[in-house]
Order: sequence, then C-alpha cells, then structure tokens
Amino acid sequence: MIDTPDDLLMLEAEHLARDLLLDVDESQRAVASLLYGWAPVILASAKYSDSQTANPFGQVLEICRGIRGDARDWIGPGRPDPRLDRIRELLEDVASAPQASGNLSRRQTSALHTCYLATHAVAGRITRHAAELRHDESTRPQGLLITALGSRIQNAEQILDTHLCDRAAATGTTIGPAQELIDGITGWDRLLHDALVDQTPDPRVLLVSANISLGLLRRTAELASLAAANGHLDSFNVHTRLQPALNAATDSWDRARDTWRALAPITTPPASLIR
Amino acid sequence: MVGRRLWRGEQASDLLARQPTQPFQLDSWEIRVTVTDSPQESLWLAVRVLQVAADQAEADTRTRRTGYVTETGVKSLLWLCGSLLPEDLDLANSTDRSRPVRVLLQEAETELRRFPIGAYPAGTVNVVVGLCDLIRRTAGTPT
Repeated sequence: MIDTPDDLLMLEAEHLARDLLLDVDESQRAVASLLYGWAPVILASAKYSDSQTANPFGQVLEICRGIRGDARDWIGPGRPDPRLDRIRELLEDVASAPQASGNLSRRQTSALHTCYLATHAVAGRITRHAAELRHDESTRPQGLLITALGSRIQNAEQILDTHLCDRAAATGTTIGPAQELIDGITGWDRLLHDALVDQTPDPRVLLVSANISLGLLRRTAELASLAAANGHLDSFNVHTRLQPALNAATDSWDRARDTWRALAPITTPPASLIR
Repeated sequence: MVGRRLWRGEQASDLLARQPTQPFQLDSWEIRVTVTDSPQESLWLAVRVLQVAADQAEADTRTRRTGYVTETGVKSLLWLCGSLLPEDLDLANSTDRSRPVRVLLQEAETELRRFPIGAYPAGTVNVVVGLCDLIRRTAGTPT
C-alpha cells in the first residue's frame, strides 16, 4: 500500500512503465530510445536486490551488457527515453533513502514489477519494429538482426517474470510454446472433466467452455487459412472440407453459448475452474 | 450513468457488504461514483468493467465491427482477472454499456492504477500487461 512518500515515488515509476506499454510509437528512433533507457533502469533496480542471495537482476544485467554493442550497430545511436530516465531517477532516489527494514521487501517487489513492465514494453516494441523491417526485402537482414536482439530482451523479461511468480527459479527449466500449449489444453481438459463429470452442471462452466471452444475454432480456421495460403496445407481440402466443418461447429457453439449465458449468473468464475 | 443535479458517492466496501443481494437502484438524475478503498475492491470494479467490455466485444464480433481476436482477448482478461477474486462475486455493472471496448479497457486499466501492483492479488501484473497490450492493439480502430 502507500504509506510513505517513497511509496508514491515507486508508484509513479510503475505508472510510467505502464505508459510505455501503452505507447504505440514503433519508429526506429523510439526503439533506440527505449533500448538505451532500459539498461540504466535495470542497473538501478539491481541495487534493491543486492542483499538477496538470489539476485533476480544478475542474469538480466548480463543480457544488458551483452546487447550494448549490438544495439549500437543494428539500431543506431539514440538518447534514452525520458520516461525510462525518470524511472531510473525515481528508483535511485528511493534506493538511496534510509529505509525501515519492513519496507525493503515491498520495495524490492515494486522495483521488480516496474522492471518487468518496462522490459515487456521494450521487448514488445523491438519485436514489432523488427517484424516491420522483415516485411520489406531491402530491410529484411536488419530486421532479422533486430529480431535476435528482441529475443534476448524477451529472455530478460522471462527471467523477471519467473522471479515475480516466485517459481522455482533454481531449477532453470523452461518449456517451449508448443509444449506450453499442449500442457494448457491438457490442463483445461482435466479441469473441465472434473467440473462436469458427476457434478450438477453449472451454466457458468458451460459458458466458459463455449467461449474457449469458440476461440479455439476461430483460431484454427485462421491458422488453416494461413497454412493454405502459404502452401503448407492443401488449399482445396481446407476450403471445401475443413472450413465448412469449422463453421458448422462454430455456429453450434455460438447457439449453445447463448443458451448458457441466459442461464448463467454474471459472477466471478467458479472455484472448480481455477487452479 | 449520466446526471445533472446530484452526485452520489458510494464506497465499494458498501457494495461488497451488499453482495450478493439485489443491485442498487439509482434514479436517472444521479451520477454513480464508486470509490474503491482496498485493492480487492479495486480489482472487483475492474472486473465488472471488463465484463461490460466483453459483452460489447462480443456484440462487435457479431456485427463484424471488430475481429474475434479482440473478443477473445477481452474474455481472456476477464477470466484471468475474475479468477483472482473470490468465487460468486456479482459482476453486473451499471456502467454505460454503449461505450466502445477500448474506452472500457482504458477505464479498467485506470482503475488498476489506484494501488501499486504488488498490493493487488498475485497475478494482477499479468492482467495489467494484458490490458495495456490489448488497449495498444485496438488503438485507432472504431472500438
């Protein structure tokens, strides 16, 4: 909560990081500004965790050092983004002030949140900028280099996320997106089974299942179209067999959703669906 | 709710205390101002706004004003945000339902600035990131 003036400064830093997330400027100049402002913020945040045995910023600082030269070569020079500059100032001000020991943990968490938000903003912006460059044949090689740069910052984001979620950082186990999707669908299947089998049907569960099924069907249709357009799937089969089947299933789920919505109270999700 | 003559302040804790009884009825000349004084109440208010945004996004998908991606994104956020609160909280909201999805998302994001993220239930940071990403992605579209 907000008990001291320092808490307000930390809150301002957090809000600035959110403003970065909302910013839509993806020009080369903006990306360079973000990149040059990001490393000093990480450095300032690392001071909050010096006393911790597992400093979450150690690996992230290594990433910062590693990309310095590449950033200059691939993105060009730039001035640090003023919002990141301000975040750094705020973090340094609070870190240099004498603190009650009870506040330390809260401020470490706050610094970690701010850093995570800022890192997500920087990684996202670089990735989108790189994607734009890759579209044009003349800038494609540069786009590929910047994509690699963006993925290194995404790694930093994942490290911070791991510490925020207090997962077993020591194990260092990471899984790929495909495995994550498989695990997610398996987990959802198990939850739905537990929530529906041998239970009095809860319309909220059915409504959620309809929404998820609709999302999956629409996404599948989109991916199939894309695969057909790129020659990965047979276009005739996709358009004459798969798409009509998906459309029919989507219409059925749509009708089912309307029925269950009429029966379901508008409340937070049932505990049986939350793990 | 738009009004001209009277402002009515209402503590969100009053709303929590009333849960899950009948919704509060206001006459048409009042402005309802909900003041959240705890992170949980603030999160609850944000979820209620997201519920309206999800309904609006669904209506927009049906009329093809926006693609299903927006609807799915809003519903995922609603789900994520709702799962951080206790079960069975009422999500009915008297907020103006005719507003664009993007405005509603911004309202939810602003509400979640009331307290530091660390004061909200664990996992709220993902809601904040998701909200900001979705608002940015819907920038410049009619909704």
